[in-house]
Amino acid sequence: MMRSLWTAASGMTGQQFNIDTISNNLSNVNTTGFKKNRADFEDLLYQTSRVAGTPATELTTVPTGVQVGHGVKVAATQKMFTQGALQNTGNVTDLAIQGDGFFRVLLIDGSYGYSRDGSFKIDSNGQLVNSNGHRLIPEVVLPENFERDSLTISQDGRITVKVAGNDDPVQVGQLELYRFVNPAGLSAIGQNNFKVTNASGDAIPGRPGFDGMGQTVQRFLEMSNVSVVQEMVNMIVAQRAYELNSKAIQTSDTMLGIANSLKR
Amino acid sequence: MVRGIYTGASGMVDQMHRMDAISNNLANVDLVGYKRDQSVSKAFPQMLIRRMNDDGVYSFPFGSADTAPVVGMIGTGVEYNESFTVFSQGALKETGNDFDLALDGKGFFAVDTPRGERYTRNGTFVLTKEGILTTKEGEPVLGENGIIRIKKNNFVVDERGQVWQNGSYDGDPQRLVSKEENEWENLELVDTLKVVDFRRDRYLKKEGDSLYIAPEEAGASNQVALGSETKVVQGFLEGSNVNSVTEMVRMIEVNRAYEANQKAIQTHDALTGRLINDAIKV
Repeated sequence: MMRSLWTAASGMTGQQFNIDTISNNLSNVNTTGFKKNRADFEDLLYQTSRVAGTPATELTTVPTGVQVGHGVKVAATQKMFTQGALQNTGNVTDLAIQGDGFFRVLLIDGSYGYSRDGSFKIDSNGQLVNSNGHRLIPEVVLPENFERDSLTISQDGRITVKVAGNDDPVQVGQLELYRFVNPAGLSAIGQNNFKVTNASGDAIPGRPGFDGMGQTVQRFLEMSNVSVVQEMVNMIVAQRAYELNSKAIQTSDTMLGIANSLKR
Repeated sequence: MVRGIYTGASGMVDQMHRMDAISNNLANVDLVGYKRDQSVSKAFPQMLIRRMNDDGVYSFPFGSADTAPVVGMIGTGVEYNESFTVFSQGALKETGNDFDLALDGKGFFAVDTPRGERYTRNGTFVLTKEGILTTKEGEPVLGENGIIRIKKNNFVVDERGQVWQNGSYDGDPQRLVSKEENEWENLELVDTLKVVDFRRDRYLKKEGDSLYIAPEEAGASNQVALGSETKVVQGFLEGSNVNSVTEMVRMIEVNRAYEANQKAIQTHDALTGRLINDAIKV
């Protein structure tokens, strides 16, 4: 059968994947700390039906080869860790990272999750936890009967509160941020968390504002870095590419029909 | 048998090959750094047709002469000769990712693979945890002095392909830096990207994964003069040079040519049928 049928089909599959990625970006346009994905493609194998340089006659060689490609495949989905816009929420336990770095939380299975989502809450034990109740590590335990409005988190991650009946604020913890040699290698596990992989390298701890870590900004949240306009344009391009490939399949099909009608 | 039937069939086979190439161009219409393939067909050898049973000697009272026994030339069909890669420039689009590099002009990035050196125009590079700049398949991108070790937020590639870093943050791969605190006070040259070109680039063979192999026929690779004829652009990617309009038109053309060849075969078949069934009534 015709190669072009399968070649064009690989193109359609690729564009479908592209649309999957784009729609995930668009559906997370309002997710705190979300980082957009990009689908990267590679061309598939080439079939060489005539090798350039093989002898054609005693004295001459074939000057050019015949090669035909077999379509396209998805090579990678890359996370783009550019800074998202900061949004003022006024909530004292909301934190944004201005710059590089991740918060670390303890997941249920005992492993660590890394996240840019800083919408923390205070649980019944007085600990800072994320929206799913995962504890921020290193742990921050707030003293009993602290004044909620006095909770202050400085740009370098120092956490101070005032306890009722005492005018002097006391430091109750120090935030740490984590960075990676290759953040694009992190694996997203959902719920705004990333996991360390072999490609990302181990987490490198540091204080906010030092050693390349970003600063923590209290009462702010980081929005997603999805640009709606860009995604829309990508979607149009993907749709048209899909359409083009479907036309190639149609043409191949018409040609097969013509070949079939050779014999009446 | 009637020669035209085979001629028509060769035409259909050739158009099918062209369609394969167009399909591959369309499947890769969105692939970074993809260069389109152009199909080239060639005619089978032509041959002289002579009148059969004719010695060509015509006698008349004053002597004899050769009286054009040659009927003419006849072609015997077409053959798919070559898929020719067109290395014209693709459009550059901004991505804002420091690891994305595009070439504006001739040349290829050199990549070190286990199978030997390969060449690519696809500049979607990534960093490994060891701090080595690689392709997405994990194969190191080559500089003039070998692999390139850099650190996120601590490298700049200028248009001459030179990779610069702030020397103050060199060394310990665990010591990272942010864009804001990097003041670029201690500039050091890491390496210059190996961007090569070939005298006969039409011999370059596509290998898949956006890589090209340079066979012997392509000639020796030579470093491209970066900055003048070719510029390296950081934070940009080169789109494919497939033009969907021309590919569409080619596809229509292929479709119709295929149909025309089919008609030729059918006509020949009909003629033979008439010869067998109508002309001679047994």
